[in-house]
Amino acid sequence: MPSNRKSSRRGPESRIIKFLRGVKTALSEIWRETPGKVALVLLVFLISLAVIAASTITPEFLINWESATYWEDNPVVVPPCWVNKLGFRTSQTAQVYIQEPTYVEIDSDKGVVKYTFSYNYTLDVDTPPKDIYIKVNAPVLCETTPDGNITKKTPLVVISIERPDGLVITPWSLPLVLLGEAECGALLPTTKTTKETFNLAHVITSFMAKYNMTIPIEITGENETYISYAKAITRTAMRVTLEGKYMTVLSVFVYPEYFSVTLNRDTRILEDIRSQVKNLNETISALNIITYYKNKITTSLNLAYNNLSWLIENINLATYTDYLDTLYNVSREVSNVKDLALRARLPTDIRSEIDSLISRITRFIETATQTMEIINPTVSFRALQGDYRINVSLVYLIKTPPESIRAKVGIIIKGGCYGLLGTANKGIDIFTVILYGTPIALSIGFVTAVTAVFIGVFAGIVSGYYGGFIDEFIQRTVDVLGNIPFLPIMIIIGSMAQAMFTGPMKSLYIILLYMAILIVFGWGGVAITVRAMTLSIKEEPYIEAARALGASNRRIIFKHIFPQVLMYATAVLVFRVPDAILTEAGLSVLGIRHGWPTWGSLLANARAESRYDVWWWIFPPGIMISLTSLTFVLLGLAIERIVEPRLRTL
Amino acid sequence: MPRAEVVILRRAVTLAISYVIIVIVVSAIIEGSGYSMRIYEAMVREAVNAELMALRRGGNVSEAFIEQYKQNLTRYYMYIYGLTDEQGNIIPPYVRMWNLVWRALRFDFGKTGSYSVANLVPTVPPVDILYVIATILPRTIAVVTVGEIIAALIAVKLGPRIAYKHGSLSDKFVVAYAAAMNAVPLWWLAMIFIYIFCYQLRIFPRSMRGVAPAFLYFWKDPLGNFISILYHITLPLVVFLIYIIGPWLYGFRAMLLRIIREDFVIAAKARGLPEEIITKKYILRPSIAPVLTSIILALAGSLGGFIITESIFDWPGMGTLYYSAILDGDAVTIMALFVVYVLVYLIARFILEVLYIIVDPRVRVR
Repeated sequence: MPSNRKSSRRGPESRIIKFLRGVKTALSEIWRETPGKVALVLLVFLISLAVIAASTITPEFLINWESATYWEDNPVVVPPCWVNKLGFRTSQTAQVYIQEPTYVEIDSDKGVVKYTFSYNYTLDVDTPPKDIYIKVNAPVLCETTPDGNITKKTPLVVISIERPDGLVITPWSLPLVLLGEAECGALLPTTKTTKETFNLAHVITSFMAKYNMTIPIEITGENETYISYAKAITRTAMRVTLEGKYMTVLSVFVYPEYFSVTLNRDTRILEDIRSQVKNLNETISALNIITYYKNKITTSLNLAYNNLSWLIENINLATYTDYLDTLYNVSREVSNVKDLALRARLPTDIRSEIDSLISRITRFIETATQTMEIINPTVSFRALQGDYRINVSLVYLIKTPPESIRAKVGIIIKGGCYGLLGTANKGIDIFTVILYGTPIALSIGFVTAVTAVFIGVFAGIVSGYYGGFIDEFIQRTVDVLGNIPFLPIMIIIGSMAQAMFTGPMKSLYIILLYMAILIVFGWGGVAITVRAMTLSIKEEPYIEAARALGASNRRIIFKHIFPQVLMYATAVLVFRVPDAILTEAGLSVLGIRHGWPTWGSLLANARAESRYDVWWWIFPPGIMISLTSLTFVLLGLAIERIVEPRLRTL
Repeated sequence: MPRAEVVILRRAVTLAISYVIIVIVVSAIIEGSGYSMRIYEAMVREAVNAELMALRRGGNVSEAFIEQYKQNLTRYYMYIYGLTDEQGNIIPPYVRMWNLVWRALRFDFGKTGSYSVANLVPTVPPVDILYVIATILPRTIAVVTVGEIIAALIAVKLGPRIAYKHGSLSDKFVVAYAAAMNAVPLWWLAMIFIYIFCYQLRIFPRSMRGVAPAFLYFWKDPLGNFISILYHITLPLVVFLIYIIGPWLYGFRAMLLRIIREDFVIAAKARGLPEEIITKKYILRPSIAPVLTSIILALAGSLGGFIITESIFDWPGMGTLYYSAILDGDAVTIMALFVVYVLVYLIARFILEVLYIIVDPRVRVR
């Protein structure tokens, strides 16, 4: 359109349009070939990620992202949840915060009100989740008593869980107390359920009732006392397994899959005691003592001996009752012998032998009644699959309760998977860090590349255009810089920086320092090429013409030389963007950390914990780094092809 | 127009001057900035505190005695770590810096007292720094230099053909592969390979630190040690090769592409010469200068090792040595490494300058 073209010739507005048109042409040039297309698509993806991240990032996250409390509610080192679609089986993670009660039960006669917050959780795999806890912020309710005083009421928190097997257990009930002052309706400090407050005894009792875990009478015999011993031992066995393998709280998600009780039929200890009895008997028989005592002692010891022999011979048919009865009999007889020995004034060595026998038998009885040595229960648990309903009730003793309350009830079930990309150590959400790492990486890369290339272009132009001493100086500087091994210097300065800076801005300063060093070492290569280009451009006739017309050096540089090297500079700039990103990541991996959530930091954590075996931890950050680099490499290739059409091959 | 000798001499002088400047710059960074001093001070504090704690645990001694003991001990350790002279005066950073420069220029590196540096040999300090470098250098040569040589040979073999078939599928593949390898960090590639081969398939060891004795006592049991080296080296070498083969092929291709459009190549094609002769005689030979340059500089540069990647593999080579020395603030070892590396590099460059003049008459007239 002619009018359009006319307006584009003058005015500040037309310049912008001209510039935009230039950009559009360049973009369509880049878009024409495959690498350019790929690069532009990736670039748009990265930039949109960066924009989303930059607009939602908080300073708090930047500072606290590595603290364990920040990710408290996340499971530690678990894969992303989409692995379930690939055939892996992991339990779900639930992190629910409820503010409105699901239902309210008011009993105004008794003055009891119960606000219940419910959540449904489905366990569909064979392993229980990794952890469960409930966090409650309950409000203080106020009631005016008839005499006009205001009393403040705090609730009892009762957590009950309805399980798929029909069992309803109440593992926690925690009375909340008011410490200090609080206004009416204000929320109390957070109360968190722990395994210390978990009522494991109640859960075990429920299991034993529900799953009919009685010990067969063939094993226990009929003595009520002994049966209660056996029960206690069984409970202990369950407690040990549940506390150890299931971290107490996971008892919620399991059921006793297998239960059996056996009696230890090994007779070695019994035989041992028996032979001791026999030896004692022989020794005392050989002694020269009053026959009355001798006979009594021998009778008792024979009785003990026979008791033991009977048990040893019938061990395969014996019950726990038989076992203990025998032992008590033996114990009684030997104690009897002890009395007689004292009265018969037996030598001390024999009396001490009797004492040792008694203590041995006593210890054995203790073992038999308190440990799993003789009565041996085997319980194994298994994850109980199905729908759970977790009810968190706040129970207030109040006559005139409000219809509803606002509280904050958090139900945290740490499953075997989390989010889009899983978690790292301390429960760090990998997706979040990847997302927020994007703007940091891109800005580090861009700023460094732009500055280095800018300095390089101008140093090169100045060097080539003016020549002489300036040229020599710049070239020698480039030479020296180019010969210094870059990475060791970077590591030295990086380690220095960690001690040098303090305060909340430390990370920023360290990263700025990295960028500064990259710039110092990065401009040299550009300067050499631009100098060579300038040398040839300088000899062109139109430069001479411009000079003849009286153009200043500055005008010649900016108007005639700079535009010529601009396209080359753009290509180099684009190629240079990944440098800073790779260097930052590399230094982080080495353990020289700055403290910000970057892709390199995630890999650094994986290295520090030597968890190269966790694929969801080491792959995504590396892929992001590579993808970003690839974007700029491809973009650079595309731009290079526009600058240098000979290179068109791909 | 200066004669060839004058050109060479001038280059030699320039390189020597840049060597001196580099030594000064590096000294300024290590010592002038107080970096190594700060680390030594921390070490002195640690050593003194350890002894004081032992003293306190020993029994009841008066606080005054402890204070006196602490001062003496600090003075002693300051001297041992080279922070003070015999009179107990603190040596300021700039003096330390020029001392370091002077030692570096005389190649007088002496012994290192750093445990983590000596550990790499493995031995205990004090140990001669040049001995440490001489012991550790073969380990880096075995991976990096050997890798570069293999890659260069492959590139010399395949590069001309790819350049000749410029635009073909294999050419496109090389460009894409090089672009991809440019984008992927080598150390991340190393992590991935460790994940696959050391953790999933469990073929190779998870840490390559165990290769050190096989190098150190190689001649005691050459066959067994060779197998041990092979077991440890395969993964690093393969990863390194996979990584550098792309840039090598791409670089060769770019160099040779300039030649391919020359008239004499087109003429050779027109004469119907077989592909092999064209690639060997008409393409590779005229580009011998840049090819030689890239090979020699790559070999010279390979001696520095790869700090990050070596640390991922836990490979006890030059990169790991660099890193241990830096973490320990071992200024003399760091300096010795820089000197060895820069010197080899500068000498390589000088040799190239001479070679250019001999090989290429056009350069001679410059």
